[in-house]
Amino acid sequence: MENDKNELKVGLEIHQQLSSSTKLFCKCNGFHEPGNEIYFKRILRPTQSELGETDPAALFESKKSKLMNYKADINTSCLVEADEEPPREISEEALDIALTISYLLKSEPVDEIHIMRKLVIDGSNTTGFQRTVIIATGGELQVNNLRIPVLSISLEEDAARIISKNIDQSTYSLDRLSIPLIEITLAPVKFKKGETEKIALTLGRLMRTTGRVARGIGTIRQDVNVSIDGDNIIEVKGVQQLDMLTNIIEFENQRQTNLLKIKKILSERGIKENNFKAETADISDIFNNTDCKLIKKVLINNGKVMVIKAPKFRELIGKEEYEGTRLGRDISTLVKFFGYGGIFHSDELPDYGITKDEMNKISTRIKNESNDGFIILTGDKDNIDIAIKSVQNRLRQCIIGIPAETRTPTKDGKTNYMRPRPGSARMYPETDIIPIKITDDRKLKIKKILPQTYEEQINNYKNNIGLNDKLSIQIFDSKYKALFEKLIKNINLPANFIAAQLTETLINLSRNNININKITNNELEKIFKEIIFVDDASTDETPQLLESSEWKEFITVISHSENRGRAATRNSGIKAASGELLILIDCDIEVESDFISRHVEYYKNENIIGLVSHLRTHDTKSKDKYHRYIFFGKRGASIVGGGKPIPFNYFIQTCTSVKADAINETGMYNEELPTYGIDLEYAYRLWKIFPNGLYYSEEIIVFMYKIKSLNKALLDFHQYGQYNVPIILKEYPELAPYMAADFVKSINGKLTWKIFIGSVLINRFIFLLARVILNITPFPLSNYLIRYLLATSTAMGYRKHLKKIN
Amino acid sequence: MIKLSKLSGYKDKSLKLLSNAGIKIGDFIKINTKTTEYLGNLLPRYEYSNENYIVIKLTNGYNIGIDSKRITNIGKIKSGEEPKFKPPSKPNVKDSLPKIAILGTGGTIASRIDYKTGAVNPAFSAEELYSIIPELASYANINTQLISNIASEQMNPEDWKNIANKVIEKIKEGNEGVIIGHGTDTMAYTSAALSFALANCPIPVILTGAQRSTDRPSSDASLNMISSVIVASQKIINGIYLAMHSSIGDNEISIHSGTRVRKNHTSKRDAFESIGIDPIAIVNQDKVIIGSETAKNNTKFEPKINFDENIALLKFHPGFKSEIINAIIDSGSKGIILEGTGLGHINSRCNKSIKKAIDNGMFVGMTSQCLRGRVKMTVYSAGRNLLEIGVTPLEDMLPETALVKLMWAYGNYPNNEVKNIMLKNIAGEYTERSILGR
Repeated sequence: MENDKNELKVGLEIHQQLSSSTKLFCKCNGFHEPGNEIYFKRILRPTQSELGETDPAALFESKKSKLMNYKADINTSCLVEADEEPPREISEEALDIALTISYLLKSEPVDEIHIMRKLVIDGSNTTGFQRTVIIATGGELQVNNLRIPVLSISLEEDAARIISKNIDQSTYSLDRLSIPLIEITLAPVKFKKGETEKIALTLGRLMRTTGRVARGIGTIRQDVNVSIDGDNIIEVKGVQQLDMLTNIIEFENQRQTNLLKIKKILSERGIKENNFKAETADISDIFNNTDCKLIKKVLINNGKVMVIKAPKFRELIGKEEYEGTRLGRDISTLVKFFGYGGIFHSDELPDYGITKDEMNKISTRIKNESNDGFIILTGDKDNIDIAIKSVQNRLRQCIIGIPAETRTPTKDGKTNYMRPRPGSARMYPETDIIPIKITDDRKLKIKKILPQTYEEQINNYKNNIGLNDKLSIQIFDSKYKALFEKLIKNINLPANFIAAQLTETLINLSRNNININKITNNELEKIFKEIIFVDDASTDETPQLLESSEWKEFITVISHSENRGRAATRNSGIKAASGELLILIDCDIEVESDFISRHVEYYKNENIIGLVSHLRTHDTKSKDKYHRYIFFGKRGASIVGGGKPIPFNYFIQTCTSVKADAINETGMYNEELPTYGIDLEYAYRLWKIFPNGLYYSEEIIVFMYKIKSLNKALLDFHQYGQYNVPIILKEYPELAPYMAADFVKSINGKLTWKIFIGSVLINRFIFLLARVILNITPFPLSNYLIRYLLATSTAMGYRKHLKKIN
Repeated sequence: MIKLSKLSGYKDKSLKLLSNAGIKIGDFIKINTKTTEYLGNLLPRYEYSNENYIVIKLTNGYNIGIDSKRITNIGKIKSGEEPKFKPPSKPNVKDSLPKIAILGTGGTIASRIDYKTGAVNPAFSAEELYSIIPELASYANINTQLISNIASEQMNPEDWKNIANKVIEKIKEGNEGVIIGHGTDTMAYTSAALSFALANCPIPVILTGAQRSTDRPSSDASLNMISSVIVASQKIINGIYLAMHSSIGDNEISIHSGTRVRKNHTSKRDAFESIGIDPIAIVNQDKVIIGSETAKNNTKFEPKINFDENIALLKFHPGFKSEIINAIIDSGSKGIILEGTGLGHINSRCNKSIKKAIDNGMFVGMTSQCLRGRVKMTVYSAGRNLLEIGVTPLEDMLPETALVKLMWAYGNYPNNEVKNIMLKNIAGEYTERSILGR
């Protein structure tokens, strides 16, 4: 510390939104989707106190214009927020959360709570006051070996959200108004670098153990009280980022040290409160022919140039040992409140087009001596008297030292003057609600179910639930903590899976500009619940496996009493699904944990109605030529690649997402088709409606773990040719080329070269020969043979069908 | 103002604790419980609670209640100070501005807060009103008088008479307008009563109030008062009116006719609505926009300020028992206003009792609980039968206005004239035409 005499003390005041289901004094939920909007205007008038204007903050506000515009929407606010109805009873839920946090801080609840009105007439509360109530006093926060005393814990209404603010009027939105906030005031403690952040973090986590505090931008705000002389406390309001705390405190330390130095120098120069006099003069005439563009403009617009004498302030207004701490900067922000662009002061002149000659004239006008300085204020005539008065006051305060005031943090870790610090004076009881007793029963009930500490909960996540270290902390800090715990209890999915979806997947989505705040917890819950498993009368142990599995409650199982085939199986699943996007996965496919979110991401491209994953096998070294044909050759959708529409014959549906709307329009799978062909037929129907809607993703890789042999495949294709192809052709003869049928039978009655080739190549002898040659044909040449074999197998099946019907 | 000497509100154990320690309201005291120490000023205990809690204001401004059973030690640190109120001085008001009287009947038009005790004290002197609502000084020279201090639901026809007398007095004193601050609950009854009692009043008499208490910065009282004063000072209308917000915003004030206005919401600023007609005028900023139907009335002003309370207003409903009518007849009532259904009907099982009332010389008038629209009793037989018995249809007069008018009619006219008076349009209680869009 630079100053050895003074001790830097820092006190934190933390405001945290509670995630109760209603606001503090009505039944609205401020987090809901907004509804129809209603606008209204109000004028707030400062109320008179018994002792006249004792409150500097109220006086300050009353100097400013008070026309307020309010935007309310009918979902997130009601007559109560519009100040058109008395408050309802206090939210018992919020009160319980606040009491819980009080006990966690060993704070003593008060026996009877009295709701107070704290006057705030900047418009952020429609009533002109904020309702606030002390819940508990005393207690301590333990941070490692440090014990920080708790002064008080209160519950209060959050303010309305500011939309715009200017000198004449402000606009606020009522959605946030009256969301419950808990305010915890910690005693000031000696500053140690890095410790303030730790204290804030520990307190934040302590509140989060309840799982009942809101998360996200703007849900937690730190006010930090900084004082170096022990008397005059500077309150820096609304620090949102913890990592700014040290910067802000150090800046304040420097700024306040600078003020104490100014005080010392002023006293050495013999200026005291009783001989301080900051005369003013109209100096517009001095600038009749000025080069200063700003002043010129003001005078053209019929404005005024005024000077304020700064007695003995020479070199003190511009004094800056640490960046941004000069007095001139504070005075400049001060006048901005009254609509003035800023000031010029003697320490920075001549500059900005103001000449030495003009300076001399000013000094003569106000009889400045060598140690005196001055401040030039220029602009509109209307508010200039108030602005001058505030500058004079600010100069006078320098004789006393550090003025107690409220400051606002800047993005780069400095602070700006905001308003004088409010006194305790402006509180009186909320007479619309009677005081509430905190009964012993209530206290006991809350004490019985106090949440575990942060460390205990993290250990529980790791040791009992099986979360990994990273996810444990992530889920604890996330807004889905409570949902996670509910899901873990109810659906028995692997913890890491649920946690990853609630953290990483959602973060990924939000990075891709998807507004995840719009997704309600209920919807999220449903996502986890809506896995539909269709058991098509399987003969393996699948049913038993499902029955005994921990997944049981989590999956909707649909059982077919007899084997009805793939089309019927998919149809059953489609009928049961309720989501906007359906993902069809065959039973031999394995996917990665981010699979769903990655599919969802693609649909930001509104052209897409269906997306095929990239099918691979785990066995990357397989020597089997058929496997290499399927997984490693360029075939199907991979020829087209991602990012553009693919033709329907590449749209296989083993692991594919399709929009529910598109399915609705296209209809169900054709259940007449027993095995292969249903994909082609369905894809064709989709494609006819959405010719540019089918896509392929190279990045979403899925694995097939049970791969059939070429022999089995050929058999399947033969059956496909014999039984399925005729069914499809009956409806869609134009599909013949896609099923090798045009090699067997003329489609339009003409003899084509294909029929000619077919009559030669589709024959049992060549087919068998090809199978033998395949053994000695190296990859990738083998792919051509396999294509021939599969096509021929289909064609032979189809020929068999034709023979039968003839 | 709260007197600091008495331990008001405290009883039993807490009273004993406090008086034993020599503590008075306002004193700065220390209270210890087993676990905690509290420092603060003792506040009065409000009457609604009978349990033993001691209420203090902590140094940070918050109030808390401490269970006297838990108190292990209590002591005075220093005596409280009496709140000092320095009344504001009167601003310079131009003599040329019109002279307007503001009468207070109860409730508050403006108030001051004593942050030390949390008490809200009414501010009513002209000086205080000017200091709290400085705009008034640019429109009128005001003089104020508190004529009663009762909540509006406690008002009786006797109070209407008092108010009417005061208004007459204020007219005689040369005021060019009278504003009456009134609780909103029964303000429309009072406005109807004054409309009849002071029919053909030569100056504007405007009732106004607040739906939000005056201690809050957002109160609607100031704008209602300013607009009332503006209307009164412009000398463009005379008669009895009621001025309240037109919407939930502080944009416009509606000036309603005293006999056609009704409170239609429990809490909203725009609770008062003109029924069947448009408001007589709208005040926007300092502009008064007058509707088409008003003309300055120059008929002779002959106040008739008596009211007879022996009138009943009966709201008919399914299951309504004729015994209630019989009981009213037996109670010595002189007249009944029925609030019938639809076009003016009640269940025929009550007809016998109604007939009995009329045979006893009582006036029985029919209004509709629909509030909007006119009764028309010749459309259905239920109505015709009632007409035959002698029930008087009261067109589109509001039920409450009809009640007040009947009290006034019996209070000032012989019984045989009552029916004629009831059917005569005295103060705009009937509308000639049923206006489209209302």
